[in-house]
Amino acid sequence: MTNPRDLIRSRGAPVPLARPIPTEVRTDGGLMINLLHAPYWRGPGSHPVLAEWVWHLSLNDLLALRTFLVTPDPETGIQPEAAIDAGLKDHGIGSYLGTFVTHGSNFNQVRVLFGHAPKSMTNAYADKPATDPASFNRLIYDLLQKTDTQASRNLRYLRRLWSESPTRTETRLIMLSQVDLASELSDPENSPFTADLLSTGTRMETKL
Amino acid sequence: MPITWSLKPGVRLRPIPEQECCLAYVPRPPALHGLNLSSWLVLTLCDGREQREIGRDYFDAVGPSGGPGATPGAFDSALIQLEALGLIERRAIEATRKETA
Amino acid sequence: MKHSNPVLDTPPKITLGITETCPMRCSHCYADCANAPKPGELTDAQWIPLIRDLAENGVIQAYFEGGEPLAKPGFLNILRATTPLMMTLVRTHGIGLTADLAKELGDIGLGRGLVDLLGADAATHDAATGMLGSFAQSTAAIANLVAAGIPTDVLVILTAHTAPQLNAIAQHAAGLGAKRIGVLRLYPLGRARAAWSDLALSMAAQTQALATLRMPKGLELMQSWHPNNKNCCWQAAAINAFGRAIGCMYLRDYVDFGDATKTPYNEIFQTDPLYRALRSGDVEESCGDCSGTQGSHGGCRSTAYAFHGRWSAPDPFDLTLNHGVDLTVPPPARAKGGSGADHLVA
Repeated sequence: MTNPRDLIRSRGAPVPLARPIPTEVRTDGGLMINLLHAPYWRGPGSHPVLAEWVWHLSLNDLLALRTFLVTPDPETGIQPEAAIDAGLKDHGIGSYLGTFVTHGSNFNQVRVLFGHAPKSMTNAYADKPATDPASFNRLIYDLLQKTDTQASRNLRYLRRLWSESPTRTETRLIMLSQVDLASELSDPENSPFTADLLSTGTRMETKL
Repeated sequence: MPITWSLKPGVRLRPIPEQECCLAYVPRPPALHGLNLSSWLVLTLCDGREQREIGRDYFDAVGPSGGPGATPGAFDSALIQLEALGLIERRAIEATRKETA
Repeated sequence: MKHSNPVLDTPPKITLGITETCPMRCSHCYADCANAPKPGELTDAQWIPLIRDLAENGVIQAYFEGGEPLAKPGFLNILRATTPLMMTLVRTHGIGLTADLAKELGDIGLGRGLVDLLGADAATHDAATGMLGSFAQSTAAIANLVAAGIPTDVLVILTAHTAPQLNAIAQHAAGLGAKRIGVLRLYPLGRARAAWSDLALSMAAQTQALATLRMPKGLELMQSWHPNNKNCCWQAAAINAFGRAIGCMYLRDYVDFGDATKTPYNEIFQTDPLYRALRSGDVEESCGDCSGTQGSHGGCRSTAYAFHGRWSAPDPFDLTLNHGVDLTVPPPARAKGGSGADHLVA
């Protein structure tokens, strides 16, 4: 294949990009290298919470998922990943970071990653706002109910694949530097096991 | 007013299909640009035809394979970039007719 | 082993070491330049058809260097024949690059000028070039190129003499209107290998010098250089002053892939076993930065070969791949070889 029409037929069409080549000495960083294309949607920004849906797919299902991700919606012409990201942003949830497949031996594990910006909860007695990482699930649930939007339809497709898998797991990650870890761990409501250890001995000091 | 798009005189193209891109050299003022597949396709379609025709060709080519380059607005943004880099030039149809009359 | 670099079927860009003539006597000169053209250097009448042939076969950018390209008889004729076909860059010390000449270069359509500075003041620069007044001329050349509307970069080779002056050189470059500064590493080539003990810095000293570099407003730093030590062989093509295909000017002391005036460059590019092996990225060790940012592996092949004697060795200028190599110790001379797979294992 030597022309863009044939290449696009097999690779898909990236967001159009034309830019000056910043030639340097001998080498340059500007020649477009066929690594992996950057995400199609707007930048994710910085989020203190990540949410992850993990499951496994057969190779055929994996290929089908890939086709789904790169095929624009026939009505809107918008690619599903761009629509999901826009939906998350519009609903103040955060960003869709992407659907990833593990590269290497565990090739069929799929991970969908979201960046979440939880609303702060403040009250008159609090020194500082407390975050609510769990708000992600509530907000995603709300978005999934909005059946009339493409973001919701596309997100439900991903969620359905996840929920049908016997290996599914779901994780939330909190940015370590942004969380008062000692308070979190000593709160028996959030962490009864570690809170108990912290209150009854010094062993956990070492473990922490 | 309908417009046509053409490659600017003197522009030289250097396809690099093995890296899925194309380099384009503009001699005056001198500059070298890199184009990805979608922009490269648009550039090759700018052969003096009307924008509407070129756009139809573009979406015919990218539609079946999909990807973000197939979304509405992608074609227009490609034209804007290519024109800003001095790779293509527009001409209003009426002006063209007057010139040829 | 079994890393792989990005692939090009034929080279889109080329470096042309147009001459080994230079009016200066730099202590680090990689080409061991002389005042007069060396026997066998291609003339402008030979370069022009060669360049046209390269353009017809897909080369769309030519980077001219030397020696001193401006000292090459007929260089402006060569440039005039090249600019309609390719993006052009000229690396120069700027000797004799007057305002009139800069304007002429602009009129011809030169795409970019790159001027070497070997110090931030006349005492340091002139001592390194062996030519009194060269700092003033290089400084004027930068200003003249900028005034002629030619995007201009300043290059500085990182040595024991330039390291303490990096910030001052950057300030000087910015003050003259340069667009970028490139801090290039020192290579043990030509006279630089003989003067290595006087010029070379340890890895720690190089890192320290770069860490203290503060870019003045408006001046950019070239990104493809130390400490970002990429393996750029995959995109490298070069012809020396004598018309020999050498892949990269930094391989000038070590390889000879053939006569580019007799064999089409693309044929050499595709068939020479050593050239192919160098581009492949099949190296003993790869660092994450190179592979992550450029998809290439193992760092520069020239310094890998210079210090280890193996083409597949790790580049000792790479922080990750250095493995305790003392960069202040001059590497041994390596025999200049022809093309062939026998060079793959030293």
